[in-house]
Amino acid sequence: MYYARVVMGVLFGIFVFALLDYALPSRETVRITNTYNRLTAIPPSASIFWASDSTGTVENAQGQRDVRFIDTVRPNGRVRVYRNEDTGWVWPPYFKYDSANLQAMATNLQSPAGAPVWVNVSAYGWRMPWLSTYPNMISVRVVEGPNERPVNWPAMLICAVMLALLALLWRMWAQFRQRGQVRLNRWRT
Amino acid sequence: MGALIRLVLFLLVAELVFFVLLRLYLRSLRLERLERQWDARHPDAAGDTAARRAFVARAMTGFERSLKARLAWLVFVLPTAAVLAIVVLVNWR
Repeated sequence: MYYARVVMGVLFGIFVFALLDYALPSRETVRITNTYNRLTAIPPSASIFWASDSTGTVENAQGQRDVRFIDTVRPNGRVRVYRNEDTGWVWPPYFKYDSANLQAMATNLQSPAGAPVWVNVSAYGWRMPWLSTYPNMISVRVVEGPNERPVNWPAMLICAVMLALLALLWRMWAQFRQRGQVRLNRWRT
Repeated sequence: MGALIRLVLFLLVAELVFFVLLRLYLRSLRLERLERQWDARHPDAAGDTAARRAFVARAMTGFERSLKARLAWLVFVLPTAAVLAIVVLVNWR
């Protein structure tokens, strides 16, 4: 029983970490090389890594969706492909519905290797080639050079708020237990 | 539109649950403090006595109007403000 509890605890910890790693915004300095949209088949097994159905996405009879993509190159030369989809009012709570504007901005910021324009993009999600999943781009802004890495304060702020909430819930739980004991003793006597 | 209504409903239910729990918690903290106060002032009548219960009940009458109880209403304001802030930051920048 003890080992089962330890295993459950570790699995829960990994799950929470993975959830935060997936849903919190991350920032990366890249150069945009191409923007396009492509008919994409979304397998049911990986549908949680794409926009929800109720965000205004349209699928054709074959279950394919027209998805906007943004190709980028990192300063170290490795590529990173982003998708650009609305999240709407559904999970994760970014409430993004300006993907057309973002695509236009990204297209405007395209640059060749000879005359690079470095941008810092915020995105959430994972790139998993074997599942064909892509991080979803949230915002883009121009930075001075490839070495500039702005502080990811939104993720820090969210983590701080969640930690404070967790501490509060902890205190509330302790108080309820203690007072419950007092009340129980009163009732017994 | 359906998704927005679902979000509003979900947020409201979550806020309501947290609000009730927070009020219970603040009440409980105050009750405990009053009981300690009584015990410190009346060492001869300490413990769970009828006199202490009457004192606590009297002291709790103004609880709804206290600053802490009023600040608990922020539970309904802050998450909504956070959603609006995210909407503005993500879509108008």
